[in-house]
Amino acid sequence: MPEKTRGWGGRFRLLGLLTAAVFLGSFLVGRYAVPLGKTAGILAASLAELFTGGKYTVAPYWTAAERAVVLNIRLPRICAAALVGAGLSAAGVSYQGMFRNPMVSPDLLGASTGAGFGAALAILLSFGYFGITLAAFLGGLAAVLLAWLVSRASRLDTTLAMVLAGVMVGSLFSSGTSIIKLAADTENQLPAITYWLMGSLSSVGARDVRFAAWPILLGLVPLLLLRWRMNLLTLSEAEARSMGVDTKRLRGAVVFCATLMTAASVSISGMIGWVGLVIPHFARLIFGYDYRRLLPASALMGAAFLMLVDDLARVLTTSEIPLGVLTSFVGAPLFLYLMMTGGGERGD
Amino acid sequence: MAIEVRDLSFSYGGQPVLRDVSFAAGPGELVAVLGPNGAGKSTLFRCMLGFLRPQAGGTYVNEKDVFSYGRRALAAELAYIPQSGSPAFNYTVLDAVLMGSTGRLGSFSSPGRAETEKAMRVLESLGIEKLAHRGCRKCSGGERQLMLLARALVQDARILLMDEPTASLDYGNAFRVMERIEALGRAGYTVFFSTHEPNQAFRYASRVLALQNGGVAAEGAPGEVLTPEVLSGLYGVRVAVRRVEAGGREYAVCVPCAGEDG
Repeated sequence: MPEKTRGWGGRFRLLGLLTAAVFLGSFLVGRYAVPLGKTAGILAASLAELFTGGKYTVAPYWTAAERAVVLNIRLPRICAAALVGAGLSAAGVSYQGMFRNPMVSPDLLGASTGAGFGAALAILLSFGYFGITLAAFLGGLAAVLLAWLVSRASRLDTTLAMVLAGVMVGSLFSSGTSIIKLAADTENQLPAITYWLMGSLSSVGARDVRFAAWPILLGLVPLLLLRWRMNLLTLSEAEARSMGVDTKRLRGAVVFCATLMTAASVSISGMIGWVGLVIPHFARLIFGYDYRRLLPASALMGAAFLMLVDDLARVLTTSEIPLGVLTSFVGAPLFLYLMMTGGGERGD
Repeated sequence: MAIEVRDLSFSYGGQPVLRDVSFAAGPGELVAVLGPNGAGKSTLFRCMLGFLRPQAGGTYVNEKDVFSYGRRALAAELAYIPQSGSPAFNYTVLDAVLMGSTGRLGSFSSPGRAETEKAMRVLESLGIEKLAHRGCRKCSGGERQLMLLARALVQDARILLMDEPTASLDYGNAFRVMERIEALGRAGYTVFFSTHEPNQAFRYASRVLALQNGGVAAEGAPGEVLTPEVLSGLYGVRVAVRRVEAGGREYAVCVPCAGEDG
């Protein structure tokens, strides 16, 4: 069949290998140098312990500090980058199809502004680190829920109503964040809020990864299962319905899953722009428009991209650059380049 | 009768759009739906597809009300072919056509080898198999219209509702698309096509349904019911109907004339 001759399998294998290489390579990046041999040893030893229930152990040829850096700092951080990158990209590509607009990003419905508000409120109320993450997650969900309820009450066409409601709710929540900033004490809280809003993975621990992994996977797996049907959401409502698709239910499921992923991602990383917008474009260039390939490709490319950018954030300067700032610095020129070369138009 | 509309009335916000519309069509019939802008052609299609619930009367496919069908069951009987606008995403023609098979697949399934082979056969039957891997935004309007037709055929429905299939196509492309539609009629499909060109009704349709102000202005064989008076009434211009012979067949054609009405 022609599908086979187009070499998608090869491209996916290459992307998979690349993502795995970035994942492993990221362990070697950082201020505190841990040599390759030791890093590999630490990882292999902990894997062996995990799978044999502690029966096999490797005699350590590394220090406790090196082990702590690799397992307690780098491992959760790299996993978080991969999860957030995959989550934001998959959410972005889903929203884009649903709103039939390739310029849509995952915060269109207010998920990230809501999360920012939740986090700012939690910082103002002096919640602990985990409380901030939880508040951000709930804030993101609340914003989209509100936008959805408003759009349901409106008499406008569903898609347009959702976009307008999302913009409105997003602006409400960002005004709320501004008020909280005014009220926050300028010594500790205001810088913490500002830093959170810029987006960073520098203080991510294993607990955050465990917290965010479930909602991100809970969102990603149904989308992967529904990925063929997501193609039909790019058509008009009438076309999709006449082909036997329950568009209302499908749209609801996609919004729910994509929002879950966005809110969970943002809750541990803070605001990270551009990933959900730029990565789907690159994925389309290489894998085409069909969501059967586009969705998994976006998730993998997003994971690899954010791990790479986070590596840069760790080593570029002595004091760490916030990841959210760096994704814009990397993402915006890439996007401009795409526009200039007309890369958005694929087709033989 | 494959499809029957009985005493259908629909109003939107108290404003009547369709009044007591009744007609029926069987297998192999090509029905042209004529009428000036705003006569209710699109609303009629939307009622027939079960998107709008009429206040009175209804649409019956194989003697069953369309609202008693599930979405998928109705998709197996009735396909809708919209006007070919410019799509937001540049799917390949094959992927776009494969979307027609979605109603037969489980919610979590994707089209496989059998669906792909079927889609390729349909593309071949319409003579556009060479376009299979081309992005649909790179196709001409006529090619895209044939692609949408292929998608409807992949859907396996026997009744096709086409919303102005030749709108914004050039003369040659419009002709080629209409020839394909005529072939579908010969193959036993029931085809409804709305059009602003009465000559297409004369040339291709076995029956015509002329709508005006939401009511049926004329219904029947085009040569019998599309009189100069009916056409003048529909479009508000004076129309002359002549018979011409071309390619060994005789057709009626109409031309608008300048001058006084009537």
